[in-house]
Amino acid sequence: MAEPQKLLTARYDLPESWTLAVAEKHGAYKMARRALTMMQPQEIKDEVKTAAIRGRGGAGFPAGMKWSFLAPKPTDQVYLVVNGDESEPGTFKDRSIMELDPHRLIEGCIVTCYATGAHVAYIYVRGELGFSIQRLEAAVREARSAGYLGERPFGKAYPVQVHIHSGAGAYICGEETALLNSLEGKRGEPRLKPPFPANSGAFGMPTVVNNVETIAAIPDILELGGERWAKLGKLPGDGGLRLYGVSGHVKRPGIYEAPVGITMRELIDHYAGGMLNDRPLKAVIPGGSSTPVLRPDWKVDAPAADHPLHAWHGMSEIDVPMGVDTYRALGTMLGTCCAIVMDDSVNMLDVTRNLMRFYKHESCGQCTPCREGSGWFVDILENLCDGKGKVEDVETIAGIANNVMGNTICAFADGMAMPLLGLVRKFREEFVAAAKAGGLPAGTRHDAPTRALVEGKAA
Amino acid sequence: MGTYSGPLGKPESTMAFALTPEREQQVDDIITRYPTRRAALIPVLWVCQNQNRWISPDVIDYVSTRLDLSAAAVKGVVTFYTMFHEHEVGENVVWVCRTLSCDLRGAKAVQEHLEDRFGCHAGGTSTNGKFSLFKAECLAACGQGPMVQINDRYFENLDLKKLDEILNTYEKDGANAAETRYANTAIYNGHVPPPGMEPPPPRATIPSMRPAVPATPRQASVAPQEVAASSSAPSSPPPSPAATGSVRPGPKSTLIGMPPVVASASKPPSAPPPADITAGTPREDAEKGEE
Repeated sequence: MAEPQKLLTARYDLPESWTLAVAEKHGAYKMARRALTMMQPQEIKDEVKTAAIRGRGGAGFPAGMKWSFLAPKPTDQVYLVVNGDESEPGTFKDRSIMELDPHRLIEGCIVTCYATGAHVAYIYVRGELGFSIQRLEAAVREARSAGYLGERPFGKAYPVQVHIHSGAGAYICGEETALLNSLEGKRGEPRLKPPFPANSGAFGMPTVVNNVETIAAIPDILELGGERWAKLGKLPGDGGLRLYGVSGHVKRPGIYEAPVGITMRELIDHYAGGMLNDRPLKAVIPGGSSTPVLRPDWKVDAPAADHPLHAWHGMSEIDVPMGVDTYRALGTMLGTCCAIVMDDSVNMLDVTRNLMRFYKHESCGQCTPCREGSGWFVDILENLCDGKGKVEDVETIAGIANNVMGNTICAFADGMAMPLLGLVRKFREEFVAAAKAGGLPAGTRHDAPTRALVEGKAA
Repeated sequence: MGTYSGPLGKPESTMAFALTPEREQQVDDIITRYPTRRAALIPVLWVCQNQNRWISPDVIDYVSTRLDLSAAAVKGVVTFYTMFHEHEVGENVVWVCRTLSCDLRGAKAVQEHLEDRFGCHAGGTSTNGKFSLFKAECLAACGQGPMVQINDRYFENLDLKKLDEILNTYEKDGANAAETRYANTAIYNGHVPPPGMEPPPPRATIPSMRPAVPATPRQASVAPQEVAASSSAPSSPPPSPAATGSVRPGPKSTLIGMPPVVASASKPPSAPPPADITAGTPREDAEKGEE
């Protein structure tokens, strides 16, 4: 039997796919019904563990293992918190689930609540996604009136409630402990870990925090069985299909569902239709802005036979399969699997400045290295771009980045410093050139190839 | 701290700010969702901002009383989150995304156009009071840039003509008409089977953003076999990753202006280790290594 190639996106194309009637006609809530009426929570947890689903939010932590850390006392109220605070630059996959197939997410919430012993799920959606919130709230109302949420979902005496909680515009709230603070009505500042959310999360209770895509995949895992679902992926210990996003200079930017383990080259050339205007690829940020950049003319250097990437030794970086572990071995991160593609017209110093402005704006300000470091990066990069920089500034940036990393409460600073170091390492010549030449070369802007199109002038 | 009457802490009506009865009902509903009152803070602030357009000191007063919090706690939250307005804003709030993916597709032109049209910089309000303009960091619509958010809806795959149409509709027919006509949900291009399964579908283009671009100047600057390779299926030998590095003749290179050092630096064809980044782009080496 041919393996399915469309799971998460299976209902995206249907007219009115966000309504209960359409979704249910095409299989929604089938697995939630089966789980609650015929399965034990432990069976569900085992399937998810076998499925080897790596968290889809960026860190790639195995979801089954995360659930197993829960050890609630009998008096504890366990919470499920679904992280829909999607705001990593380049990442736009969860929004498609929330707007085009909200019932898949709610079904995943019901199953996960049952498996982990939670009775209340909060879906935290970033405040900008007002329309996603509307769609989700409508879907929750429908599910509640159909009896799938409430006191006796599917006739089982296991109350489940799903609430939609709106953020108000803060990237840091995608960090799980910041998200919990935000959920509790506080400033979205990350908490020190431990205690981890599995012990003391939302409202001081044991909490499971998972990404929207992870939760939305749970019904499919039950339907196919963990083992079969795992085999959909091409890499060991990293199973299933996942949503890939492509943005930037490609012909068809967008969301594509594909097995774990396709290569970046396949993603760009096959799924996204190739480079915009057929220009050459210069660099690609593989999984959201916090992942170090890949350069297609750089080769994998893994001569040792026991190196995890030995099979790809000597090949281009973009020919390595996209998996959590392979990309870590490559010195980058898979992140959210949403690539930002840049062609040869782009100046990487300009790109770096753009990204660092983002981090400066979004640093929560709790830890000094991150709050101050992000500002320094922007100042130095602005100077380099404006011709006030020196060649030594490049070393200064790298020095600050190394001191910022690992010295803060949360991983935001690492997510800022790692891609910065990657950019400086791989494109140092452009930084140095700007310092020597007195700024960015005239006419260089990273939006140059598309600017004319936007303005409606001839290219 | 205020005093309450009633089980959900309704404030006595001495406040300068009051919600409509329907919104009061909404607040009651929100409070029941959480085990603590404080957790209702952000949703309740949203309800207030939807009515009042901005979080005035009166609103802070009201919310702190309603939720039994100090005004400082409420203010702290209001100042933390970008979307709560601490100053009065126009009838509609326009956020233009300026983070990398949108910027790669011309978001700067969009911002400049909006600033010209509104007669204000990002952060200000248009002279007719209809629009406030803000620069936003990534709005999670990266595949459809450039885009703007107006109030709570997204308008994606913009060019300046479309943007003007949208804003004209806001001015003439109001927000509802504009949203019905132009706002979009998440866009899905359709399923693409994995390579080797089926031939890829015809490359649909998203309207108005991707006109065919004449390929003539490019063909003049790169070898013909590369053009063929880059447009063929990915299962064929990988196309040359980057045709950069050499000095490219023609108007493009001067227009786009690659950094001079990249254009002039050229390494002798010996396979450099990846750590060696002195060369601009060792493309010739790259090709030899691959094929």
